[in-house]
Amino acid sequence: MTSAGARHEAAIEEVWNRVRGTDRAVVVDSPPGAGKSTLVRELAKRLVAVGEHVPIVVQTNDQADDLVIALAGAGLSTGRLHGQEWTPPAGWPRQKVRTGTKLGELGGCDVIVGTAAKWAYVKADERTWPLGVIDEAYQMSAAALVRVGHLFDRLLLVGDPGQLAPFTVADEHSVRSLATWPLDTAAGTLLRNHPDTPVIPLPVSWRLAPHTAPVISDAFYTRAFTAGAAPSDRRLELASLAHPALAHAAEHGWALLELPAAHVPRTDPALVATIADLAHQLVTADVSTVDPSGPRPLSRADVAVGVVHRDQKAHVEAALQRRGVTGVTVDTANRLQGRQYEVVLAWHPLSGRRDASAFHLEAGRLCVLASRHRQACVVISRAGVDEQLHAYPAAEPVWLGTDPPQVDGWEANRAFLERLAPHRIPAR
Amino acid sequence: MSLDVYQRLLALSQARAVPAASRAHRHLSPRPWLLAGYHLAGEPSAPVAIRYGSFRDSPKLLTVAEPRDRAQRFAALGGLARDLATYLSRYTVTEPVVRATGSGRELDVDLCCVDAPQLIVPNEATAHWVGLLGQYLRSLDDPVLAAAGAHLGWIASRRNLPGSSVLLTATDLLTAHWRTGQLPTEDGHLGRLLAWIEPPAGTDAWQAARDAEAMPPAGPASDPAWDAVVLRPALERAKEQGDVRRLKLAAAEVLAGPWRDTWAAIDLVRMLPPGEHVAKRWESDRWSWTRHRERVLAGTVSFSARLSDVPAYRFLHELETRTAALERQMALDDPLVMARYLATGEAVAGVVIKRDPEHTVVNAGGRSVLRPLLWVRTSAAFDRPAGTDLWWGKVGMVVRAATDDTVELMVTSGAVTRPKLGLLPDTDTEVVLAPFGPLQYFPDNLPDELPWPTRSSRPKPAPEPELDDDLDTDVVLGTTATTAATTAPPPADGAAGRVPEPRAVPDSTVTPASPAASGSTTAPSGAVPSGDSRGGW
Repeated sequence: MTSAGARHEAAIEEVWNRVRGTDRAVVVDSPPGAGKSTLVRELAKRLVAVGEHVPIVVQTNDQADDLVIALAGAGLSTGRLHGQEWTPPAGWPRQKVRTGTKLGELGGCDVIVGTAAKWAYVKADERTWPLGVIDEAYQMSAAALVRVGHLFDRLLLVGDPGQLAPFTVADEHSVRSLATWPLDTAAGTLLRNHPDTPVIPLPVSWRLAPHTAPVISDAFYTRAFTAGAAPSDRRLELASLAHPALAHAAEHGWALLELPAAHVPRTDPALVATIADLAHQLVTADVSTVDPSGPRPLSRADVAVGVVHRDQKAHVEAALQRRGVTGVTVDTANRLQGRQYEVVLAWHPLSGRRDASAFHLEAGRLCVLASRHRQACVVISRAGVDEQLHAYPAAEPVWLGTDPPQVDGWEANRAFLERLAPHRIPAR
Repeated sequence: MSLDVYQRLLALSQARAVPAASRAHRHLSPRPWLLAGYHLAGEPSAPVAIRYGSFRDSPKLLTVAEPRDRAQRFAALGGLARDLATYLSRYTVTEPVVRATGSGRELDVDLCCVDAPQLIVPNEATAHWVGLLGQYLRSLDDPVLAAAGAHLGWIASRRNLPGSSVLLTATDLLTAHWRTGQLPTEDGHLGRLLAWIEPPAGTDAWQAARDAEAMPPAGPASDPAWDAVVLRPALERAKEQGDVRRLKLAAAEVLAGPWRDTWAAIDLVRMLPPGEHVAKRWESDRWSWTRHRERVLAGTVSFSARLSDVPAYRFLHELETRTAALERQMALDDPLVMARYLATGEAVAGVVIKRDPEHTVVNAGGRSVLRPLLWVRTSAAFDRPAGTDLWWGKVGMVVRAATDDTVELMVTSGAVTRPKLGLLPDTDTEVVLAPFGPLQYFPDNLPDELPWPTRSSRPKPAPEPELDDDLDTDVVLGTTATTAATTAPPPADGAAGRVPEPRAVPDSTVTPASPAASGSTTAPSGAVPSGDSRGGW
């Protein structure tokens, strides 16, 4: 076993011992692709093996579906607690899975998976569990934790501290005056209220390649991690591709494709067209992705476009449809959390903006966009982001009663851009 | 494209404000209480002059010859407090109202005030000042002042809630309904704003705005030149010779401007027909007023400067539901607001050119279900992808395909059974398909007390505050208001007119009761009402 594998195994064993121990709560900090999902699956298996029923709280329906498919694949009898409008995704397992909008419909399941919003409607007088598992605990808000916390005597929280902080449609200013900060992360609230809670970091990212992991670790994380893959393990082979940004990214893992500097509307048509062209090339040209399991052609499901705003998503999706490209994921950073692709095309949050607002500077947003890929990430942006950053030094107020973010968004943005400078490709 | 930007550019090129709404989106009371005033420079707690009242032509005027003298200051404010009590006493009549309770399915009858008071001030700074006045008045021994403080505290607290009309500012009234060609921060100046909307004949908006800036400010900070030249001699004369005539004259003259401008703003918005949902939102204000009155009568009014524990989470839920509801209601009420969504491409307008009401699909369970199809001819290409959800009233549909001038839609809810097919739009009907569906009912599923993960494991010094019962929305009105009815202490029989027992607070205290309030200078009003009944009211 490699040393990375040994360190990972040791961390998993430590989590298991803690879960079987007496701590009321355990937090696992996991960088992108550090085997968090595998950990949840592994722990669920072990808990079921010792006769426990395992409720798992996730944050989005997509995450719940992915997890149920994985758990059922591991042979666990799994229940999917869902809302009225949920429909099963493609490839939904027929064996080992029950679904229902009420807990009563999931009798006999060893593991029950649902979103936090759905779990909030389960009443504590209906049923409580000795141990609950919360996945993506840094994506979940304290407000969501308050609604499910009473269901579980003990908690295991697993999450990526580099995720987006919870947000609200309400005027944040009004909420910031509260003595309790309802938009803290679930893990943050728990650690604040129970400071003795053990935090176990997972030390190895299995997703990110050796040449992309250090950039993410340096720019966005306080606990450093390394890539588990060896430099020779992964390769993206482009046989007949035209675009230099894709060729560069295939070789180096990163490319920063820069369009001429301009102040443009949020749905920058030139950026939309560039991204759609790149995605079109990726899925129509002859591309194969190589890893230790062997080479295989890059499929549409292997490619994702990460954007910042929902209207950007709508415009990119429509542009892809016009080019006849379907099956490529296009979504906002918020909804890409916890997902993984071979190649990611990322819309830089600060591209074409006149200012640098807190929303667009948030470290988590850029981190999510830049850490979804296994092979390569192409960041697409208007030039001039550097100047823009320096024109808007961080001016976020310090709020009483809350902990400052571990990683400063402005500095994370600057550091990321600096590390990407050698990969800068001007658009033709 | 952003319609907001377009309207601002249009206003700029025309040198005149353009309408941003065709309905009034704020409730306007037939008899609001207006207040405009100045405090001593740099001392918000020392009012110099306040003009207030419900009658445009006969306002009341309060002046304080030596505002730093507590006795004089509170004697003058006593007059305002009594007048406020008289005004509020008009709003005590209740009527039985049927409303949903529990999970929203059962009905109950509860008493609600038929109308609620409304305070309108010139600008944001004055609204903030009203909250500040309430904050220190309610901590006084004098029962009349303390009662006024409690009322002002309630009024100011409603300001944090989107869609509430209890405390309105003239600047907000105008910016909600017009767009000017100046910077948004410049819209905060009431005189400039009015100049853009109604410039005097023969002047363009820029000139009118410059002229308005030369006039006395709308307060509560006064003009330094006026302070030096007019106020100072007037105050000295009042102090040394006991002659307040000059002070009163100067105050009446200088406050006539903001007073007139605030009424002018009200007049302008009154010319617009009210939006359909405005009355519904005002009903939520009426319920809040009803509960506030009950607490005043029962002597249980209390304020905490910063919410914590369960009320903090409930407040967030309240804000989120209200924010979303207000956005949706304004768009559905007002074609000019909906136009913003058309401009961004979130909504689509067009004519139904073809229908297939018999279209069916096979659902996940293998059954064939009715999913009618519609084709809508649009004037511009619809640039959102297939799969986008749109609504026509209660009829929900999903975009199947779009060309340069046609959108193909499949109806997915609201008209997918034979008896309901009549709800579909006919061919040749003009439709606006909105990104808002029917109001969804999300009950506030917060627990009664915080669960262990969000509660400190260290011992807690103070007892948990009670449930905040002042938070209700037009969306989850049923549930939360019913909670209020059960948790708010019932009004004591025969206690009508009783004012709360004042708290024993040292005379020098003008800071908020809670030490936490002074902690953050960014706290919006410093006064969020809560059911926290500590402090012995």
